[in-house]
Amino acid sequence: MKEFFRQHGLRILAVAAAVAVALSLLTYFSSTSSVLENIAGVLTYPFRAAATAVSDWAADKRQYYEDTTTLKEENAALKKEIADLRAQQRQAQADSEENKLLRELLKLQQQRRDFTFVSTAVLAHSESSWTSSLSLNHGTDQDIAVGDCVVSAEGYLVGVISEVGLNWSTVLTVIDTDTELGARIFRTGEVAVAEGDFALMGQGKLKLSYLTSDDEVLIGDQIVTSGLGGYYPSGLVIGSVESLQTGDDGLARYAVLAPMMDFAALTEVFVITDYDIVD
Amino acid sequence: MNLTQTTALKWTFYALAAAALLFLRRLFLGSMTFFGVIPFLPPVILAVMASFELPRSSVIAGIVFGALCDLVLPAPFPCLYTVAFTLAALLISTVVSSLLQQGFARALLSTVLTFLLVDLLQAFALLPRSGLAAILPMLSLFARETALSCLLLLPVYPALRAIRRIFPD
Repeated sequence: MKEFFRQHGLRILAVAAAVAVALSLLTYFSSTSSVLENIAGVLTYPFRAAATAVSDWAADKRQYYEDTTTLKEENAALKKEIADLRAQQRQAQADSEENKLLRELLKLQQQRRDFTFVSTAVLAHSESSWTSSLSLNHGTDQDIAVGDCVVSAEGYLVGVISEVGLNWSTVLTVIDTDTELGARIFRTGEVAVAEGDFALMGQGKLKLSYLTSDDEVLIGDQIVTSGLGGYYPSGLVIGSVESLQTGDDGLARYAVLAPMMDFAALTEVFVITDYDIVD
Repeated sequence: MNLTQTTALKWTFYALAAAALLFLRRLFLGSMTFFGVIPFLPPVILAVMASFELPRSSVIAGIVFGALCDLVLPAPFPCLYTVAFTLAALLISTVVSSLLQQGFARALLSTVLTFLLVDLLQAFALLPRSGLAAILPMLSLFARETALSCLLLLPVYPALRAIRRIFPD
């Protein structure tokens, strides 16, 4: 070993350091992804797409033969939920009409929520358990940019675009440790911060921090994006409160949030490339 | 065929085998998790290759494979895999090789060492943000991930050993 180090030690150190620094600089100076990352992403795209297509097909076939009893019970529960939702929708429609009338009377600007969506397929899920990310099959070719929000078909927030290439992009999900979003408790309007936590990421959950002692948070409360700062659209559902905890210092409170979907089951998501919201 | 051509051919076969193994892992395991862990293949491939090869070749493989992983996989900082794989290759081809004869046991120890280095670097990068409370979950994840990924040695080791036998030193 000593002989090896004597002969090659400096050279190895120099080469490894040069590669590491080059990678870091390429990432730092690029607003999307570096040239090498983009090329690597484009070259691996067909293999990832092929493997995902075949494994999704196999998963479909496997699920086809699932227990019909479970499906029947789920069907019955969903029918009841639809009935409840329809009742809520009728009430919401009445409230919306009343809101429109009052806004006209007070001469307020019309509320507007216009989004531009790009539909993308999920090419791959996280390769490692230390991050929670998704790879998508569109990138700058569809005007996707770093910082764009990604939602599921139901409109729930999946995550935020962290890297983008020509025909691929990477989403860090809401439970990833690098995620931090301005959030609002839908029922009370109080603001807080929804952020990933390593211990909770393993359970598929995230944390709602910076709760004050005055905040009335209840289990089951829906948490949405606040839209403060203008970085992300407001009103996107992040998750619901599962439990309330006290921090290690015994003073700060935080809530454990459960996202509204199973990230591993996602096959299609929608990237919000542009939005115009008037409240 | 001269030595350079043989070496080039050997590493071409290693690269094709690595690509095939990664593709098959995606195909058969997809996004499945086992005990809350995703089986992670790149460190296993690097560990087995480094356990077969001499220090200079191993380190070059570590740098190249690490750089490729850094370009394709998300990580807490840009050069994580380059640093981890280079260090792992160096330690495997010098220290581990002097402790154990070439074989499955050496490949197994090499795999554990590679995961230790990769996960240590990830932990150092994530700890400032996650706090000390994350140490135990990180240790638990390292143990489960390493144990599960060692099972991947069962297809990886024979595949790479076959190439090693075709191209002995």
